[in-house]
Amino acid sequence: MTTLNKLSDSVRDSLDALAEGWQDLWNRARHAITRFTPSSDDEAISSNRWGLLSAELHEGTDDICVEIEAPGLKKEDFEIFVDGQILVIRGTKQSSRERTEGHYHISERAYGKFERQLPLPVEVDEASTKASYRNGVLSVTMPKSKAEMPRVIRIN
Amino acid sequence: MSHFVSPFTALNQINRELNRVFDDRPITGQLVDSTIWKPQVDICENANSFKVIADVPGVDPKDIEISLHNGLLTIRGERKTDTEVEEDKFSRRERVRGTFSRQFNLPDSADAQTVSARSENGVLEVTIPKAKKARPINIAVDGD
Repeated sequence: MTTLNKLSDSVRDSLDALAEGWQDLWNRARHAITRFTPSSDDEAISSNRWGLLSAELHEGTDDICVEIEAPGLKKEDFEIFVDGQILVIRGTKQSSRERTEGHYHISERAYGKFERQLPLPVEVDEASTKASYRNGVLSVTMPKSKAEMPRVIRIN
Repeated sequence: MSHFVSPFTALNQINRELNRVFDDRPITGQLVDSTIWKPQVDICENANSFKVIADVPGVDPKDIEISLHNGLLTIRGERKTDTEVEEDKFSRRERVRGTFSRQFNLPDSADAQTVSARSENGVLEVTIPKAKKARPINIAVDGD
């Protein structure tokens, strides 16, 4: 095998690995790509319009737990509600630009309003939903509605 | 997460080669091998300092490592699994766990001695002051 052949094989292999890696990442993250609507002209000019809000949905015996990565917000910047069998998470990521005056070399972070809707596998009891926010990750725990709970039938 | 092949490792190699060819920007960011995910960053420069702001949701501040050596700022960290839940209980799993690492070339005016960092609500903020001699000085003009 000539050196050229070896080289072309190794290039093909690395491109295959790259394609596979992207495919894997794409499958994982494509639903997480969320549009951000800048709330000021200043943000609109320089910031990224798309952010990644990666979510996870876990179904326990009694409840549904959703975790979503949404860094840089305060508790009061979130609006969370359940609409039918859809969990809606809205938020506003405030720009830090007002307090960091200067020239931007790299600007990848997204700012502004966003909304993400997550379909839930079962009906939940919206009134008993609890949420917490830690290290930029929002956790929402929703108890399953009574109708969805497995019924244990006692034998008399 | 061993089954997860990160495209960043392959891209890093290409990126390094391209950086070598087109190395004309004052600050260039590059990825480092073994990186599984990549935080989005802003880098801002004002008269007195550089500020690197990175979105690192789900990363505990104690799992972040920052170093500045010969003008190369390295931010490294790990997003750990916080709950032990069986894989098959997830009906949606988009979060990527594991290590991240990014490096940025800072100009000589950055002062490595007094770097400070804080992390709040999943946002890491690193402040690198400029060396005194690099800061602009206003010179008053005397006149009659």
